[in-house]
Parts: sequence; structure tokens; C-alpha cells
Amino acid sequence: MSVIEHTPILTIVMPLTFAFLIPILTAVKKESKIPEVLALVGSLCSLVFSVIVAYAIWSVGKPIVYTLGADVPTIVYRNQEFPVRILLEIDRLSALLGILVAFEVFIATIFSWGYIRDHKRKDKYYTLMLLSLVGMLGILYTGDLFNLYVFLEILAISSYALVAFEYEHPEALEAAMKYLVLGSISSTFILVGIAIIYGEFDSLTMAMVAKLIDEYGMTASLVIAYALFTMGALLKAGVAPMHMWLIDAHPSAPSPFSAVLSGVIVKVAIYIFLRITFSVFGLTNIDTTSVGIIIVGLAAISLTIAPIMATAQKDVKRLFAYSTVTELGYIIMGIGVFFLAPLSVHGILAIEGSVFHVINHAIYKGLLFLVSGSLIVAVGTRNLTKMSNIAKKMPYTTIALIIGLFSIIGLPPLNGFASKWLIIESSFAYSPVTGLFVILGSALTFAYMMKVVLSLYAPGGKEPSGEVGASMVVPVIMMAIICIVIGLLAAQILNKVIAPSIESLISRSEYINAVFNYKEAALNWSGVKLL
Amino acid sequence: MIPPLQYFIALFLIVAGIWAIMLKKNLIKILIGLSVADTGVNLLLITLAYRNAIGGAIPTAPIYTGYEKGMIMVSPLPQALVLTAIVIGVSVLALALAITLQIYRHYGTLNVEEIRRLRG
Repeated sequence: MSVIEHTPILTIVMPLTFAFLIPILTAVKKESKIPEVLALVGSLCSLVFSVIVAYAIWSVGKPIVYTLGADVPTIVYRNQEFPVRILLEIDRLSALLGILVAFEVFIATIFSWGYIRDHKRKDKYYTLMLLSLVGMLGILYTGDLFNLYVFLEILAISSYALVAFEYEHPEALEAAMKYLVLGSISSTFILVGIAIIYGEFDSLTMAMVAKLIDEYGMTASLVIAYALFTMGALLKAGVAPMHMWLIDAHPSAPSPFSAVLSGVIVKVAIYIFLRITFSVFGLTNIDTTSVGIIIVGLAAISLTIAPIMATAQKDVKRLFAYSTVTELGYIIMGIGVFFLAPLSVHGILAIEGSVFHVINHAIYKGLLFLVSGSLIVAVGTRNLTKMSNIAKKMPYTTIALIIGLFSIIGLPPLNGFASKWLIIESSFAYSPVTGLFVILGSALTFAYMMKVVLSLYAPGGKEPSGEVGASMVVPVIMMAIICIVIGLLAAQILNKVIAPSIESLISRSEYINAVFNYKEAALNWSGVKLL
Repeated sequence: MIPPLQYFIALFLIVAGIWAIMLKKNLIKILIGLSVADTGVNLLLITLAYRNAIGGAIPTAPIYTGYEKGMIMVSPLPQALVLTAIVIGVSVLALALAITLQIYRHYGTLNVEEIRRLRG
């Protein structure tokens, strides 16, 4: 067994190692660049390994399974050997989101170099940042329900702490407290759901549970477990009307971490919902119509309330947080339309649009939050009405910001247009009512984002001293370029990347069989074609 | 068979904890509610470990295989899970108390109705 076969676990372990190296090495040599460098290396390792894993999965074409620990114990169930230990099971969707998560954290780490520069607690900041990466990658890659909970809590605790990171400001503490209490409630829901599943089937491996649900059918307690999972995941995601903690928590964190929170952490919660629904319970075992109605209802609330509230905001980060809730509405709407019309052409199109939107939103919302960080550093305020002459003094940041804003509004040829169009078209094909809500959300998004564009040129207020440092311009420009590239190559990305991911999410038998043939499903490098 | 009393107690603890989180005004009481709900979940998990050898889809506990029909088995897995869950609960609670301490320093009160600078 070569090292390369351990890439799936290394993706998670590398940032974990670097996360705990940071405080140790900083204690040895204070006032140095050690935290930045180690965090950068750790997240870069994760990014490289997650790309390798994704490449291997794409060339093999089915999920890969990595079993932790020794070769025993296994049990034989219905003539199929089954490993009794923690598994990592990675299909195309989780590999794709894994790259996204690692990339977002990597970009945020580069940005932090300038943003957190001389902060006295910066070693703790980078440790927590890497730990949140560990949590996210763990959730995406795991094939075990309790392991999912553990990684969820690693992610949650590190993000509570980072929201409270600037504890000189009482608002940050208040936001962190809200986030902590609601986050703990949602974790409790998920843990009770896991306990019920364990009580029913004596197993925690997702594939085994899925197989047993197929054989024994749904019972009343399993319906409760599914409801608890759904509730927990949607509360974690911050879908309206459960969005109040999100509005406070996302702006209170340091800006690079706001980008991570809004860009990927809420998406990880959506991923939990998708994985539990499609792989563990299965579409045939749940009442898709009623779940779909609930989700479309939540999406409709998110698409109307959040943008109306956003238009009244003066704080730029708070405005972006409301915009996150709106964008979550789009994502949820696509998923809901899929539930209402499962496996039909526009149903599939809707969920493809959702997953595409997850990626696009991570890119441009990451960009917007990073730019808000640049504005805080350069102007010293988050209030939109107190900024002036941004466009003249900070040309590069402004170009990137405007690309991001146009992308979120959905102007072609930027990436926001591609995924929003998919969601609008498919939800309109399902029913004009759902389509109407999506278009309404889009129109209101235009209204409040124009407010940000106008404030860039408005006179009367504090002027920035000049362009921010290179470490804060380069990541933002990179994100802007990615926005344009994804927008131009939308059709290719949809056909080559998104559609296969959705295919492997929906094909449940493939997911189950990979675990029962875990020896063949291991990451075998000989089967991978090198270009 | 296991009397279902433990299940009811676990359910009661979870509901009581969430009730306290939602309705109490004092931050410390909210955190006590959080802790009580955690305890309820842990009790539920531990109770689920006791089961008849004939029940369940896979009757074999991973370590002990020499069971007879009708024996009451204790699965070791939930106990490992509960240990992990307790550690997680403690770390969440420690962080929450640290934040509460800082909130008290800034606001001079623990009443959640007075800690309201964020709104809109």
C-alpha cells in the first residue's frame, strides 16, 4: 500500500496536524510569521490532496471507500463482507465540494495574511481556521453517521470561537452566543436522529443503514429521525425563518472567516441534508411531496423576507449576510423543485442548478466578504453611507467588487447568471408560482446590490488612504477571474462536473455497493488514468 | 425486556432542556438547559445499548459472539459514542461559559432581553 492510497484521510489529517503545530511553534518563537506560513501550507496540502482525490474519483467513475484502521473486524451480512469501523466514502459530489471548501479556506488564509497582520491572537485565529477546514472536509468525506456528528461539532466549535474572535466588540460576543445556542440545538437534533437510527439498526455506517432501510422499510421512529435530521441541517444552514443567528454571526466574524462561513459552512449543512436524504434514507422511502412543499415554502420565505430586510441595511457585512439568506433560498428552491418533481427533466435540472449555485455562491460571496474586509482595513468603517471615493482610490478592489456584485445580481456572462437561470427556468417549468418567487428574489437582489455599487462612487464620507496590500488584492482578483471563467465555461462545467456529481448523488445503489465491495472500491492508483 | 422508563426520562430531559433554552431569560439558565438536553441525549444513547440478543437487525455485538437467545446484551459502541458526546458537550459548554463571562464584563447583566445591540 503506497502513501497515495491514503490521500482521502490525509486530506483531513494534514490541516489537523498543522492546526496544532501552530500554537506549539508559536510558543517557541513569538512575533514571527510562523502561524501564517503553517496555515497556508496546511490548507494548500488539503487543496492538493482533495484535487487528487477528486481526479481519481472522476477517472474511476464510482465512489471510493477508505477504511480506517486494521483489516478486522468485518462481519458477513447476506454473503457480503462488511467492514465494522469508521469509513470514509467519497463520491463525486463530496469530492467536488471538498475542492471548493479547501479552495475557499486557502484563499481566506492568503487574505488573512494582510487582514490579521499584527493581531496578538493570530496563532489562535489560524488554528481555528484550519480546524474548521478539518470539520468541513470530514463532513463531506465521511461514511459514518456518528463521525459526521463529531466533525460537525469540530466545525461548529471552531466557528463559534471565530465568531467571538474580536471579543473587544460586545456585538461579536452576542452574535457568538446566539450562534452557539442555536447551533447546539441543531446538533442535538442531529444526534438524537443518529441515536434513533442506531437503535433501529445497530449500525452507524451510512451505506449499511441505507441497505437496512431498503430491506425493512420506514418505521415511525425513522420518520422522526429523518425529520430531526432535516430540521437540524436546515437550522444549521440558516434558511429563513431560522436565519436570525446567521445575520448576526456572519458579519461579526473576522472578514476572511465571514467569507468561509457564508461561502462554504452553510453549504456543508445543505450537503448533510442532501446526503441524508439521497444516500441514507433514499428518495423512494420518504414522502418527497410533503418534504418538497416544506422546502419550497422555506425557500419562498427566504427569497422574499431576506432581500427586503437587506435593502434597509447600512452595514455592508450585514447586507451581505442577508444576501446569503437570499441565495440560500435559491439553492433550497432548486432542491425543493426536485423533490416535487423527482427524476423528471426539470427536477434534475433544478438540483443541478442548486449544486452549481452552491459553487458559484461560494466564489462570489467569498469575494464580497473579502472585499468588505479590504474596505474595513482601508476606510475603517463598515457603514456604506460613510464611505466615499472608493472607486478612485482602490481601483483593483473596486473592479473585483463590481464583478462580484454583477455576478450575484446575475448578469451574463458571469457565473451567477448560469446557475440562477437554471433555477429560474426549472422552477418556472414546474409551476409559475415557484418561478415567480425566484424572479422576485432576483429583482430585489438587484435593488440592494445597486446600493453597494452606488456607495462606491458617492461623495461625502471617509476616503480610503489607498489600495490595500498585495495579499488582500490578489485573492480578490483571483476570485473575480474565477467568476468570469465559470460564467464563460458554464455549459462545459455543467455537463462535465455538475451533472456527473448529481448522477452519483442520486444513484443510491452505487453508494451502498461501494461499501459492500470495499476492497475493490479502495483508492487504487493503478486504475486511474493519468490524463 | 427493558422497561421503557429510561426512554421517557431521556425524552423528558431533552424537552426540558430545549424548553429552558427557549423560555429562560438568564444566560446561565440557558446554558444549564443546553447541558440538560445533552444529558438527555446521552441517556438515550446509553439506554439504546441494552437490548435483547434476538432483537435488532444485526444481533451480534462486535466483540462478544458467544451469546444465547434471550440474553440481554450491552453493545459497547454507544458507550464509546457517549464518551465522545460528553467530551464535545464539555467543550461547547466551556466555550459558552467563556463567552458568557465576557458578555457579563461588557454588559453588566446576564438578562438576554438587555443584551440586544444587534437588531434589524
